[in-house]
Formats: sequence, structure tokens, C-alpha cells
Amino acid sequence: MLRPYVSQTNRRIRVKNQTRRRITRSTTAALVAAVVALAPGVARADDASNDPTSHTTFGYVPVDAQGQAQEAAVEEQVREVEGFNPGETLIPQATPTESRSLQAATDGSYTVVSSWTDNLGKPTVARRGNGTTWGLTKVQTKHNATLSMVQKTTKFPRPGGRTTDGSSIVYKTDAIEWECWLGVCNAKRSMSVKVVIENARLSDGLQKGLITAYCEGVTVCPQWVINVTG
Amino acid sequence: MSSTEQFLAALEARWRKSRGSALIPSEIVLESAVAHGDIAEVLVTRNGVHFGLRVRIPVADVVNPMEPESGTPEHWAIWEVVVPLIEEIETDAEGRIRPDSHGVIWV
Repeated sequence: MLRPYVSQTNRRIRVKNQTRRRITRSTTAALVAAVVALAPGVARADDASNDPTSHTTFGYVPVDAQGQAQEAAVEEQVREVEGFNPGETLIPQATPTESRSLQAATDGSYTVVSSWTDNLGKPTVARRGNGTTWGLTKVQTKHNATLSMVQKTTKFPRPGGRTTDGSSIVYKTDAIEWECWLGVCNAKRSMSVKVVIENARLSDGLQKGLITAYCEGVTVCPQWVINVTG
Repeated sequence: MSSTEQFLAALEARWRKSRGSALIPSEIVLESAVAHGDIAEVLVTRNGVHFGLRVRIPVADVVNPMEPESGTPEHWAIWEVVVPLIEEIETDAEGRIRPDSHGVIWV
């Protein structure tokens, strides 16, 4: 039975190397290293769980006074955002006559691309827009934003991150990349995302909806933010 | 009050009301809003950096039939000035646009 022996030896070498890398990280790390050295059986059992893991969240994750989050809370937020399905809310249909006149008048700018509900259950829409000053096409081309990013920002704003002001609704939330170890997570990088909705009703009975969406501080949203919103 | 003055007054009122909110971050200060003909010239500062926006003041009573609320001074102030200006400032206009000879970054 040579194979199990080799496998076990390789595992021990791996654990030893991992121990070397981590020993300077913290007192906790040193304690774990000592346990690993003294009890290989325990090391084998904990091998996978001792590896740092990375998670990226979109939306609010509670943190303590040191800015650290519990890995369980991070994983919960990951699951919640991944499980979000905006669906499609029912949009009142214009009569054929109205539809033709609207189409002629608007040249497609006002076409509703998607509708969903925000974190308070309020119906929200994204229209195609004019490509330069408002709408989905503009935010896609100018800021690399996606419809999913817009929808999830309105669905998962940070606490106090949904404000109404005049005819506007502004949503703000955070994309955060975490490194977690032993159940505790530290933020490695983060990005604040902002979405501005015009709440005024248009002649088709729906709000104007998405005006702009962007990552604060940069012209183009980085790909890791786009990826986390799916 | 002329039509132009109404639009500029609406902008100043919106700025007073919304500054410190998510719409207008508190560090962005309205320095001036003046009209040159039918063009409004709006100057703001953020942390000592000057930004400017030039935008047309609409002719009164011209309303987009699809947007019944458009064309009013209040609508213009928020959707033609505040939101586009703040968007440019918050998406690194400073890194993209060279300031003019007076140190103003025109967005």
C-alpha cells in the first residue's frame, strides 16, 4: 500500500510548508502551527479549513469595530445575492394606438428594457435611454455597468443607502473582496456603487427609471465588481 | 423674475436642500451659477479642485410630451445640472480632463 503512504507524506509536507508561510501572520497562526506540528492527525482533518479563502460580496455585511466580518455572514450575503432573481414585474401595456404614437415620438429611447422591484418593493425600470445622458445603454458604454449591477444595487443597498430627494431615488452599496481565515474575514478591496433613478412618471404611466449607474472614483467599473453582480 | 433667473434660482435652491445627501456630497460646494445668454455656467469645488459645467437653459414652456414634468426649473436643476455634474466629478473627471488656464475642469 505505497500510494496511501506517499499521499500522507505529501500531505504532511504540504501542511509543513503552509505552516511556514503563515507563522508570521498572527499569534493565532502560531498557535495553529504548533498544533499542526504536534498532532499531524489534527492537521490532516483541518487541512482544507485552515486555508485562507476569498469571497466577494455585493451589499451589506456587518463588521465589528476592527472592520472584520464573520465568514458565515459573508457567505450568507454571497448566497443571498447569487440567489436574487429580479424576475419581471408586469408592465401596463399601452393600447396599439398609444404604442405606435409613443414609438414614433420616442425613437426607442423610452423602451423599457427591464422592470423589477427595489429593496422596499417599489417597481423600478430601466429604459434604453438616449445613449449619452441617461438610460441603460449610456451606463453600459460609459461606465461598464450592467443591468444586473443596477438591479442588485437597488435590491441590496447599504444601510441608509436608499435616499429619495426631489424626484430622484439614489441607491448606494458596496462590492467587497474579503480574505477569510479561521472564520474571520478582512476586506482586501472595496468599491462603492451608485445608482440614480428618476421617479417622475412619463406619459406611458411608468417612471423614467434608470438615469445613471457607476462605480465611485473611477470612470469604468472594474471587472471584479461586474463579476460579483453576475 | 426672468425665466433665466428662475432656472438659476431653482438650481441654488436644490443645492441648498440636497447638499450633504447622496445626491450632492457635502464636500462639493456650489461657487457660482450665472447665465451667458441661454447658457448656464455652473462652478463648484471639491477639496480645492474647481469643476465647471456649461448647460443650455431650456426655453420656457417647451415640454417633452413623453416627459410631462420636464422643462420646469426644478426638473432642469436636478436632471440637467446636479446629476450629470456630480456623476462626472465622482467618476474621476480630475483624471480624465485637463483643467483650463484658470484651473477649472470643464466636465
